[in-house]
Amino acid sequence: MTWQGWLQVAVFIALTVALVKPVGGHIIRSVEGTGRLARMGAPFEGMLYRLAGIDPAREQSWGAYALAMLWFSLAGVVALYVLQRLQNVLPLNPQHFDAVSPDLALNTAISFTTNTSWQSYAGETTVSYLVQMAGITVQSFLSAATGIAVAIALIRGFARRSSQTVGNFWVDMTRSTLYVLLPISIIVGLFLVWQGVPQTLGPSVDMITPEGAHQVLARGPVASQEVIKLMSGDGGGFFNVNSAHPFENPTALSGLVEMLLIFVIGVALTNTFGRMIRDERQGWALLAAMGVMFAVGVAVIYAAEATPNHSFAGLHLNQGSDALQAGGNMEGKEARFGISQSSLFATVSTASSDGAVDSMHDSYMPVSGLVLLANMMVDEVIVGGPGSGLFGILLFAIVAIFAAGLMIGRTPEYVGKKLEANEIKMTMLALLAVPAATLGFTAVAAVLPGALAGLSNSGPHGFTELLYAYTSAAATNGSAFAGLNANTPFFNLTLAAAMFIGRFIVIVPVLCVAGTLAAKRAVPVSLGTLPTHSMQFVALLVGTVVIVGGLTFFPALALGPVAEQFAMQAGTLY
Amino acid sequence: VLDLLMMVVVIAAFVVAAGYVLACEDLTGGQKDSKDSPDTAR
Repeated sequence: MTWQGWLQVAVFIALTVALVKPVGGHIIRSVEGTGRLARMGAPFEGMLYRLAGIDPAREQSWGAYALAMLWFSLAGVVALYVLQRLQNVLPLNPQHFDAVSPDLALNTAISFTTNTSWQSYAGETTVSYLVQMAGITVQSFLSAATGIAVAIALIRGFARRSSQTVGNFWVDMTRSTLYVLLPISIIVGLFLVWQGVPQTLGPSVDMITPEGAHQVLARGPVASQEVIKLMSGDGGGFFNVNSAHPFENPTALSGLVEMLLIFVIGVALTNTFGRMIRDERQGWALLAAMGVMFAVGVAVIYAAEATPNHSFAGLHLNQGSDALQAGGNMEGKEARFGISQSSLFATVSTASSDGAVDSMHDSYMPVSGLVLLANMMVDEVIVGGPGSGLFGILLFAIVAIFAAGLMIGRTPEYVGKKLEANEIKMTMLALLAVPAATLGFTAVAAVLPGALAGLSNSGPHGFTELLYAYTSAAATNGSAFAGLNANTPFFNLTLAAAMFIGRFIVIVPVLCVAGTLAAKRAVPVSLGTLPTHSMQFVALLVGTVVIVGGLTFFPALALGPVAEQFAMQAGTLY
Repeated sequence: VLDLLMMVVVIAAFVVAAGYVLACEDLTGGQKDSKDSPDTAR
């Protein structure tokens, strides 16, 4: 570890915190239609509503809001599926790719509609520019906007008093896209072009390398996809190696900006929450809980990756850090980014729901792999994706307050709303969906010979590859551990099912909680009210996340990265 | 045929999710204030 490495982490955290208030305020002004951008775009926005036959003034109950979200997502899945199946007869296919196979097309369609971006394919050798632009990129925008809309509906549930509605899904989704996601994408997209990310409709280039070898250089409309890939929590790269590719992430500066993009909406929504309930301290408390868990994660991974590998001790190699080498575990890492930025990027990517990678997680030390898995297993609450992070941590806040209420024999309440049986039932449904999908599908895959044939490693490492795939899918993260050939009908279909459950079977009860809370009156603060803006509450919230996550997933983690770490220290590698 | 099968599976999954919405509505008794729920503070 170096002081420069820690400085890099500190700079990233400082910049992230600096973005919280301005972007949080911008999100409120955007969804309420009061910001300058929203006023400028109002005529265009109104035209969209008229074309779609939507009355923007008509609010929806939580059920109507949820059904609108579901039917809209269904249309997205069908559209992306059809695009992939017909790409061979559609334009903008300069490499003349054949149609994507049905099971892979279904997996990809569900993956990007659920904001997961799990990729069982290599983008530059499988899908046309039309699919990348009109299919995948569009779904990245819309799935992120859907997540923001759901989070806003839940915030309204806390903020409103005796209301039968939680907002209008179509308006929230449209405004999030037009005034939050699009402007940032355009501005930062131009920045990435300046840094060296290509933006062209020209085909791949055949070239001769300085050594005289023949090489095909894939390129395409990368910059326009790159920003929303990161900011949406999607993470699905134009290229197979994602942000490790120099055309997606050319410089250390672009790497820093890409990490900020991954976090910006998730952290800003905590401020949006605080402002909408008229108590910003509540938002800062949620951010503090996220920050504690993130800081622990990045510290463990950076320390593990920067430490010399015990397995090489007998070879008398110099694994130390000096002017000529990074030292530590550089396997699977880009020399441009080194250990510090790679560790930071991996933590950011798994703590959020993004799943973009600039290094290969399969090559990390087992204890680092454990942290990456744990980041996803706690249900996207460490910042998480746009919207999904906020509603994830709010679900855990409800559980934490409920547990505290049980301890003191008082009806729990949070930011002025009583938490009763309905909210707890729905919260438990939402929190159980991800573990059920993750552990259920992993267990099935772990005993099927056909599934095991797709593994590159045996023993605990092979099990981790399986566990990581289903964790990533169910947590709608989308990052891949590598080492697993997932492009088979079995994995394509079961991972698609895990993504579907992890997205929609979570969002529906979240919206139900929004509806039941919105209908309640406010409870005045009294001496018995648990202060939820204090460090005590932050500790309670972090403890709840760790205990619930630990109890649920520890047995599976023990079979994978924990067993591998001990085996490695005893000299056994897989 | 495979395309049709895939679309049927997808639509069925979303219909189940829509049914889940209705089940949640039933489970919570709709959107109403819980004015009858007393505070149990002692």
